[in-house]
Amino acid sequence: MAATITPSLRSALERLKHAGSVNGLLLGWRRQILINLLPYEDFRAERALHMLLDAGGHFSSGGDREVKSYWFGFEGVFALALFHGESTLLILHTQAAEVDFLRSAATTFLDDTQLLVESVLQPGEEPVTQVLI
Amino acid sequence: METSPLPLQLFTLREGLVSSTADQTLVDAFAADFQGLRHFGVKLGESLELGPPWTGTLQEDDFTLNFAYFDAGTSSLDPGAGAMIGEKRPFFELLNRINELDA
Repeated sequence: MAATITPSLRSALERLKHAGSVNGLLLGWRRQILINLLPYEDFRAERALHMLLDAGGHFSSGGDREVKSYWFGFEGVFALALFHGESTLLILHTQAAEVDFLRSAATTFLDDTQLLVESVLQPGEEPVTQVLI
Repeated sequence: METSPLPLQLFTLREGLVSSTADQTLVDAFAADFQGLRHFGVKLGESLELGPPWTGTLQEDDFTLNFAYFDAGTSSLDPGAGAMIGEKRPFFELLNRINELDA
């Protein structure tokens, strides 16, 4: 089951990669990487994912705050991060003016793919037929 | 009775100080969030080898806060500006708004 759904999730993420000036994407669930389409090895992507989750933990430590998105600008590249349930999406892009369009597209992606994410995490069990012997 | 959302508040960053015409409580609140946001931006930049961020924004359902350094650099002593507002605002619009303070 998961084997057939994972490509759907990946292709949905790859479609998002063609939106605007995107040059990398990372989809995480809790503290693990689901799909890494960043131009970085997994250990760096994982470190970035953990950093974003730690930032969320920092700001919510008072109990009444929930940061839904971050956007950082670095030399030549921007990093947009969104949270949806236990999923995290990180987008690297190069045009600042595209950030709000990308945020909208990414929010739609996260809304639409929650079932796919859940299916990847909890693949349905094959039906089992039993006979009494 | 509903309280009205926090209106746009602007802040300047210079030589390690946050300044604003807003009251002390708001300046303290901005300074705390700014330091946290900048800290995690630096950590994210380190993890992806991107260097320190020159701008950062965080957004909740009913709150947006950002900062940006001007051209001089991105150390904590360099000049910059920030804003916070009690609503969701487009990121790019808010960045342009504080960049206007670099005049």
